[in-house]
Amino acid sequence: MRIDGTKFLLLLKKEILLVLRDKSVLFANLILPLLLGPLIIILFSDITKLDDLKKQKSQDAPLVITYQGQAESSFIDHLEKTLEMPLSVLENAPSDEEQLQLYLIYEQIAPHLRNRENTIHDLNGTEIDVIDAITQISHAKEKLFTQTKLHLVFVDRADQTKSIIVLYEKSDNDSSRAFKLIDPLLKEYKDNRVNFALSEKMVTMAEIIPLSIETMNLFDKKSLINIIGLIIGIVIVFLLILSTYTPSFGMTIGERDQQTYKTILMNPVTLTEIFLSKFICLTLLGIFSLIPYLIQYLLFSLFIDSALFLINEILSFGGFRFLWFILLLVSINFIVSALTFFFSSFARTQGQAQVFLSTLMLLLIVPVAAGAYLNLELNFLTSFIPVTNFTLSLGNLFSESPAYLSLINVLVTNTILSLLIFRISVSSFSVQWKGSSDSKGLSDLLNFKNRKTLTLVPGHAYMAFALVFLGLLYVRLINDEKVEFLGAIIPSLIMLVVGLFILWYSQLKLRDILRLPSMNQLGFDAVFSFVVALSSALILIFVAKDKLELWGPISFALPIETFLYALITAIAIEFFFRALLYKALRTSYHFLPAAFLCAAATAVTTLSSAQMPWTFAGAIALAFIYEKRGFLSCLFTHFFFKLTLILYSLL
Amino acid sequence: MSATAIKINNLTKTYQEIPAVKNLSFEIKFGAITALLGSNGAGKSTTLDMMAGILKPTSGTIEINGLHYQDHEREIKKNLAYLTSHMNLYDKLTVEESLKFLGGLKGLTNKDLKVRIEELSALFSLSTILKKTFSSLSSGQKQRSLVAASIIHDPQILIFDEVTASLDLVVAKEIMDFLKQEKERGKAIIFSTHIPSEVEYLSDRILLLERGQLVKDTSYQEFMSKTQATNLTDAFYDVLKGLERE
Repeated sequence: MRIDGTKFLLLLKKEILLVLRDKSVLFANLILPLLLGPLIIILFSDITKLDDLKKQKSQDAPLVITYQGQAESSFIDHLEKTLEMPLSVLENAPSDEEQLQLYLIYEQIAPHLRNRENTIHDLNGTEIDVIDAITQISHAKEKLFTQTKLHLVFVDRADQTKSIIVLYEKSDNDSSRAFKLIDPLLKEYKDNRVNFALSEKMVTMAEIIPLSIETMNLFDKKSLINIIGLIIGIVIVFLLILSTYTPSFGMTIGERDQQTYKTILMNPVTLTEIFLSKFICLTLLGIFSLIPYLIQYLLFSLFIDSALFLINEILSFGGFRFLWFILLLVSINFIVSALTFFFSSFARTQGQAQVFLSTLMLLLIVPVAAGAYLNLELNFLTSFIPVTNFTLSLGNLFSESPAYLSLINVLVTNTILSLLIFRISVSSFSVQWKGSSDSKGLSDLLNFKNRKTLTLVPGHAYMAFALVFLGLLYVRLINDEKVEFLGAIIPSLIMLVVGLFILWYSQLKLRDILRLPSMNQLGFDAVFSFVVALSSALILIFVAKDKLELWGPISFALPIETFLYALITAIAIEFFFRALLYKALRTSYHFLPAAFLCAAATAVTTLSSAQMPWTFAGAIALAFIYEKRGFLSCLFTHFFFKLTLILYSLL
Repeated sequence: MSATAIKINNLTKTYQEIPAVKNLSFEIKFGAITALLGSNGAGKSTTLDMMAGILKPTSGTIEINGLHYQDHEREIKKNLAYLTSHMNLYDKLTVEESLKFLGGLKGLTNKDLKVRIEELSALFSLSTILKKTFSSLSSGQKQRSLVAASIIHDPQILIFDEVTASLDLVVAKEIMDFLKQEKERGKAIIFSTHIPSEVEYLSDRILLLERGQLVKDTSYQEFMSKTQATNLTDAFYDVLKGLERE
């Protein structure tokens, strides 16, 4: 896809001229901000006051105390009596709190680690397994910080099975109130424990690891910033749709309605150049449409109410974060623009296109709201969730220490997704404007009546990949890295189902996409791969069994499950990525670009930065094998490789 | 430059398995005007759209100046003009802006554009409307602007599809005279029309399409002499009725 810069700029200039002369655009970008601006400022003003409201409500906040292990009823009674309020007691603390406890233990043992002490003892003489604690903590640490309800924590390290965690309603004020109320009691409890150790256990002062009361305020301003990030995100998405929706349809369907599309097509320019200029124009329009709101907000906050929307904090973030803010804005703008293009490709008239507005709103606002509802925060995984990652990023950007790597991931994810949607839309427009396309677009893809005329093309492959990717992401999020047999094969099953649907939908012949060789052609490599794979399985069953027992009893099902896992995964991945995706890409690209694109897609679906590089390399090799030998050789190679990897990891 | 401007071989276009054009083959030479005729739905516009590279054929090949669209679309379009009665310029751009924009896309420099716009202004009386937006023009002015825009790059091959339909006599005559001049300059011209007088006035050769197939490829004089009709309207009628009976 070669873009001629000069022609692209000419096309862009034309689009900008047309947009600037469009009265509806002027209305959306000049008049509407004057009407909506004050409303948004009032909204922000209310959000800023949210904190004060919480302070008032918190006077009645209930105390909840959870504990693990044997409860010391005397202490609970003492607390109730002193606080003059009943305490809710949760006998089984939720796992998050356990993790929090582990984290706090980790914080306390960190100095010992630095002193190269592998084990430490608590006051009761119980050994704390440092390595085990750290392993669990590092796993739990990320999740820990997704919790916003924990404020004040006391951990009695002397007996780690009796940690006490105090839970409060959210807010800074609650935490400080809790601290004031309960801190003396906790100190008293600590002294009692020390005295108990000194008198009853005959432990000397030198042997006591200094106890401390840990207070953690995980909430501070972060939750407020998160809420602001969420509201800003929703408002920005809403405003972007308002300002770009009508111009987008004018640029696309309008060209056909006003019979100007043939005038353009008669020039030495490609459809990609034509639509890219429209896409960029729309993105610029989106960015500039926010400026009037920004000016109003700044004027109001600087001259009327300086407390509005934490203006001082925002200004203190400085230019670098503002640059990030702009980049994130551009990335979400890409998605909004690409989606309006996507919707345009369905509609026949501009009137019809307006009907899609509510659907588009839902498509964008729901993921944003869902992100907030699920209380997600920006991390490696959530940065892959398109649209939702935008508001998460805003919250993250306004926090004390933004996770810039995740922010980069957000930019890359959103940009790739928008280009993908853009490319599919261009394919659809190609069908509408030129009657056919090298790659069939969505118009044809979703038209069941014309199904018989379809062949497998990148348009289908992109859609299938997007579906699979979202499916895997979902499984990964809900499974939380469980490696049970069923959980492990679910991603493969998703790939198989989507792949088979595409196969049915495109009316492809299985023989064509699998590139099945005759038995003679299959020959040595397939048989060899099969024999080696089988041997690996046998080695796993008979040789590795003893070593596995070092971990504990090995189940009879494990070797079978491992064999099946490797086989199902290999079938699913090779069928989906080589037979469908790579084969489809090869209809438009030469070997190297097709192999690279397919390998990139395969690598991304691992959802693990550690696995991506070698998955990418392996996928290139498999594309080469598919090219030269067909599906079965790929399948055997993959199966053999997967089994070897499992074996290696077990040993 | 090859004497053959356009070479079409087994051209077929189907819409949802219904053929609009079927196995069409013919050549268009430089220095001649060819009329593509046929009743409504005969496949004229589809054929011209494919020749202009706007529609992609289902099968068959199109060579323009010896080049194929598949590999040389940009080069072909730099030397081709296409205008139909279903084309417009942008309502909110002035005629001059449109000419500059389209000329720029065709690869003309600012200096060349200035000279060319002056030439076309004189040829199509555009000087008074250059600064006006397209939406504010009368239909005659619009059509003159469209013709000017389509040939801003002074192409060697002109494809016009019912360009003079619904135009008044004066503007239609201006456009026809222009086509004659272009033929004299050695250009290849193919046009479709339903107006017999235009065919009589302009064409050296007639291609008659019916149900997507080429049924006659003949010169104007031969066409008239074979049908023995006294005028072109009667001649068409006789031929088409004859085809229906077959």
